Amino acid sequence: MRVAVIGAGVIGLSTALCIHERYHGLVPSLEVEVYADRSTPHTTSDGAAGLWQPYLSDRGNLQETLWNKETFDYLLGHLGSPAAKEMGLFLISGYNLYAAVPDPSWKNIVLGFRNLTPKELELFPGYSYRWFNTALMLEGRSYLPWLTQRLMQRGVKFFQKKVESFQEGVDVVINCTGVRAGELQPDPELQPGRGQVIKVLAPWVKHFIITHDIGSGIYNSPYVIPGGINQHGNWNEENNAQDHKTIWENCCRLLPTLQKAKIVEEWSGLRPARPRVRLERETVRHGQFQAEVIHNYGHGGFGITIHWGCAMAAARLLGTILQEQPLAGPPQPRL
Amino acid sequence: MQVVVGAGVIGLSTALCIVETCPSCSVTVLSEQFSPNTTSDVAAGMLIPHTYPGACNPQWFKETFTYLFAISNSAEASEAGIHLVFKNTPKEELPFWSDVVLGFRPMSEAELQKFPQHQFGQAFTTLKCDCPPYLLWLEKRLKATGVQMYTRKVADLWELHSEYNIVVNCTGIGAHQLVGDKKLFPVRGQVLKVNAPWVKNFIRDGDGITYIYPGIHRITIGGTREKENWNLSPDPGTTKDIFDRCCSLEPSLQGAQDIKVKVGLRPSRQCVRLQREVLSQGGVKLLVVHNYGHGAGGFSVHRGTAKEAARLVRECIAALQGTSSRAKL
Repeated sequence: MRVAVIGAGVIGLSTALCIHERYHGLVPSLEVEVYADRSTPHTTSDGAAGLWQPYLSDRGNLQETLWNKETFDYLLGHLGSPAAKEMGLFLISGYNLYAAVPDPSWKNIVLGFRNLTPKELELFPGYSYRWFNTALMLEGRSYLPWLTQRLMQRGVKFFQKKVESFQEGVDVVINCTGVRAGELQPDPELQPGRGQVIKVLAPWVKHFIITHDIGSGIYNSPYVIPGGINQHGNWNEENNAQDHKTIWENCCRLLPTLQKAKIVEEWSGLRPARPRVRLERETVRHGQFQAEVIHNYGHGGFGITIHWGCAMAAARLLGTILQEQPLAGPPQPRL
Repeated sequence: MQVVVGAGVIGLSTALCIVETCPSCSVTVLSEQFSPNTTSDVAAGMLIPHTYPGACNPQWFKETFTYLFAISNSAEASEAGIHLVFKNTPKEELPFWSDVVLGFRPMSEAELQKFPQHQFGQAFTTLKCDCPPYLLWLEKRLKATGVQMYTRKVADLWELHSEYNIVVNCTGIGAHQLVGDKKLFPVRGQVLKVNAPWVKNFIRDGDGITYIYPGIHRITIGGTREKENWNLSPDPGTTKDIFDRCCSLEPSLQGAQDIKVKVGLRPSRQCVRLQREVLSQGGVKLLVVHNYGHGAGGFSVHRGTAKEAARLVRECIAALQGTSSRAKL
């Protein structure tokens, strides 16, 4: 039974790991392989700040809220382990500032969610809704290599290759191709949500600060990552000077001490935006060939936040496929 | 002509307060040690006062916090080494400063799961004066106003009487020898300064002996409280003990790099000695303002005591002017 995971961002790698952990002992002939043309540090996940925080509105997707919670609990459980540092996982507290919005769906998932006290409000004049909570940070730049190592230790093979189509001779394809999923199968609901970030060195900033009216945010990690714009439909992966100016000015207004920070890097990426995550099974037929495909893409700006819940859901879908198929079968030609 | 003896957080902040409130004053700072070799440099610089047994002024903490809070918002915060950190502390009662710090509240069940040995916790956001940056910032501001600073060990206050008419004694533990204050005693503290930038929240155990305080570049973890121990050399057994205790609060510290060990002697006293004194010898008078004995709470109250000391200096000046005008009669 050959399972090919396409995509080596946070979704692809975590799905591969979840599958291998769950079924490796149970299905003797199970082979999991990862195919990607880009891997860390060049994936979309690598640009993400890595703050666990879903969007303000759950867009009516209760399923996604549950996947978010599963991910948070999973990560929280890993906090106490010595692996946490290697994973790039740590607790972080901070502020969310809005013009007008009700309490978010995730307020009982994060730790210590509360409104700001009057004294704290002095820090951020001009916002009517202000929250403080403790959440988690999971840095793509550490987590992806950690996942890769775990996978390699388990014997999962990696292939640097751009996959052109689904029907290439494996039993199951797990489609974690993110923003470029449309190249494998057209999907008008999938759009790029361009983001640009500036990475600066400002180790005195220990909190994250996110504002949601002008869409700028300061996320905390070894580097503060201010930034944030969300340009729908823009496929440009180049850094834009005007965006840089906007981001920088907004963030320095929010946190004047950033003016002293040293800019280390600039980065642009394309969030795989979709009205809802596509996480479902599809049987793809082409002439003689048939492949089972599990789609797991379209996680927008909350991939890290939701990744483990989705990985487990994808693994469950694989479970149903495994139950349906006879275990032995003729070996398929390689991709 | 006034001189401040001592260049730790108390000496420098007192000098700055004097300069700010007394434009006609001419201030010099003399100290045997400057940053990074003062006791203040060893400290984490967290603004969490302890509850002193004596009648010490709770107003001092509030003044200090308010002052630093105002600076922390301005562009100077990075230079001054002041920033907000969020705390998890398992402990019991409601402290007097719970309405001074930000967002004080009990920890939730979910947050306490991280600390299975502890039943109760308090969370809040407070400020931290990172050293050396904070002391260097104070020095810079002093120099900008024309204050001179010299490295000099003062063995006796009377050495100063020919050049200065008011001496401000901010010598910390040095006051034990300098003015023979037997009520002043060291409480030795050993700490580790480690590289663990993923730790963003501070954690302090209720007894206050085990703590993890993230700074700008390094985390200060500790500690010890050894009364009457004058030994400034690091003890390897203690280092291991501190590391073990802190790792049980925060397991990820096992991955910490580049561990440096430091020792400081907290200048402890039942209460801060903050008062005027007139020394006389052979018909000559020397006016002294004492500002020492802050124990473990130096950073927490420094601005409050500096302001009070500056006020006492102004009283001294008024007294001197009164005397000289009487002499002219």
